[in-house]
Amino acid sequence: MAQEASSSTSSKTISLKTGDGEIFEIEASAAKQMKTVQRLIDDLGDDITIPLHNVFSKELPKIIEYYKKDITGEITKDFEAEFVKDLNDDEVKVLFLAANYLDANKLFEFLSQNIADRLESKSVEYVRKYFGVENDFTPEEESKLREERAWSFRGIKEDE
Amino acid sequence: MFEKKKIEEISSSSMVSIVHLPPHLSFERPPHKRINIDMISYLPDNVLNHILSFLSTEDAIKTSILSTKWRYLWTYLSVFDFYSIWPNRICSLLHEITTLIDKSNHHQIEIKRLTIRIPEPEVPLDAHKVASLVTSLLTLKIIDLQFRINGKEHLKTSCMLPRRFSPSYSLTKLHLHIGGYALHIPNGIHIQFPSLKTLNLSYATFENEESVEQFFSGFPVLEELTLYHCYWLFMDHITIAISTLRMLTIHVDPYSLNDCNDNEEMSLKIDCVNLLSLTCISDPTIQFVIVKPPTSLLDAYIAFSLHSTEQYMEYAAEYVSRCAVGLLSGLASVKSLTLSEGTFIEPPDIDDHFHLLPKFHNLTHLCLHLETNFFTRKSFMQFLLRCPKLEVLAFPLGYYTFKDNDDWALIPLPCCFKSSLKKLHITNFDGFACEIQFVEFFLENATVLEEFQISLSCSRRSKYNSKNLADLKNRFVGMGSCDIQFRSSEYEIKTYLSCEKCCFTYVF
Repeated sequence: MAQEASSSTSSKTISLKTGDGEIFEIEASAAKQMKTVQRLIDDLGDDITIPLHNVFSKELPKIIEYYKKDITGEITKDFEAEFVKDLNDDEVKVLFLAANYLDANKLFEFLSQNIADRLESKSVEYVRKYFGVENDFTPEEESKLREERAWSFRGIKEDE
Repeated sequence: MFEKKKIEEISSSSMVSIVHLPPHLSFERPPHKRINIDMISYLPDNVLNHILSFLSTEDAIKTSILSTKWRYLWTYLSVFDFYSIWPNRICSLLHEITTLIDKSNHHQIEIKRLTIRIPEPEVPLDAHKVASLVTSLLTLKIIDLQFRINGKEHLKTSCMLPRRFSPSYSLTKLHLHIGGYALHIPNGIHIQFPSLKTLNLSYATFENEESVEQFFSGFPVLEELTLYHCYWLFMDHITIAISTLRMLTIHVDPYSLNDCNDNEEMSLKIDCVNLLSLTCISDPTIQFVIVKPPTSLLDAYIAFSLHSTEQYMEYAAEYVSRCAVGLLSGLASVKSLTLSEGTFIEPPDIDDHFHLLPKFHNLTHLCLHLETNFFTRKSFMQFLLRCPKLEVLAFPLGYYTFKDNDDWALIPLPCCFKSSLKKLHITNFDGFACEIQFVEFFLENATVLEEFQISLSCSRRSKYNSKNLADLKNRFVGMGSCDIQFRSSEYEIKTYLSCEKCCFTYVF
């Protein structure tokens, strides 16, 4: 009896509903990789549509694509490079926040690395803009800090 | 109603907390609108730090200028690589490091790995400050420390380690490189490194023979030791006795010997019975003495090179042979042996010294990278007689190879030829008659050979090149148990490096 139950869940699909009302299907084994989703499944059962308030229809398909590849064990460096190739900085950020919300560890790690790669050797202003940080230093404080850190500055890439 | 609440509870209890928008923003945003991408900076610190951990230390430190919230975020990383290319900004770099040290000592942060690479200073550094910095780094609760100051002449006085202090219990890997031979290991030193497994010491100066012994007795679990260009001040006999040691690399700067060692009988005793790997790059006039032969040595790489021929002319070449043979006789258990550069400076006088060579019972892999192969056919065969299990052999043909007379053929055939020799690689092949004869000798006698490579020499006198290779191949058709693969000279270096046990690279 237990064996039957497990074989039925492995081919089962779960319905996910995005914050803007669209529904997507994923394999149950892919859903397992997203801890937030799995927790919801554990408590609500796998028959109902799982609501994801903070994930939207633009990014969820990309996430599903990633985990579809992951469960077949096909994630390679080439796949990952291709995955982020056409994404602009904002799109990567949105995916990152979604991966964080979904507690999807593998994707989260991969996107952390990708964001770090995009910020490599960029100027302070660029990084501020990217993270949406408001500069609350006084000009004197900031120039003092820059002076203190000058030993580390090696060269800055052109801001894109 | 109840169900809906439950969903929200579950959603908000996920491991990495959901972003909580500050009040002034949440009113502006209608609930069905997309996540505002500015929300990244409101993520909890540990998530932001996670991104920082993928950045270089240089980029991570820059985030301290983003805003007051970000000012000290980078200090919570656990791996740092401080590297500066500005010789005039070393003070601010050191100041930064001191701040980190303070934070660590106050248990505010936990550093796991710290690498500091300082360029050659413009202005000489204060030796006391450097000494106290090194001491405080060694007492930090970290696992891996690399501290490096480049340059030759930049400390006015020597930087002396304190005689007694307690390095951290967690330190497992240490790399200390203070250029200019400025780091002094004093007599009476008594420092215990309870967990240190790997030590790489460059340009350290040992005060006397006792300081060497005292220093190395402070490493109860050391497994890997590299001594690069260390200075042995007026010492005749140095002893390195560490029973836990598995890997030892000694690289002696020959120029460091000229000033202070007039005595030709300088000896370096190695007492490490559990050694698995030995690398010895030195001047051949230092006698290396293996006090207790290691019982299961896996590999040994020996490269002696003479730097001043005039000075050493008075040392009979036989003295150099004696040193080489002396070292080799302590390595009888070795499985893979590479002899490089000028390990022998003249054809070793086999009547005098070769009988001192032990039988290399475990030797399966022998590689001669000698610039000029000083083995004559006779001495070569005598050497191979002592390698009954040899499987892989690589050697160059050279000036001395054919300098003996034909009685080399009277030497009994080494038994490895018919029982174990599987791979053979001969390099620097010019194509002279005597060389062809030598190749035929191998083809006839190495009956279990599976792979035979010959690399053509690139010299002008060479008779063969890629154009008339076919002629050369035809000469050997039908001989021996395997085909010969010929490589033209461009491949010569590559094939050395691809020989898996011989690709030594030294990165200091």
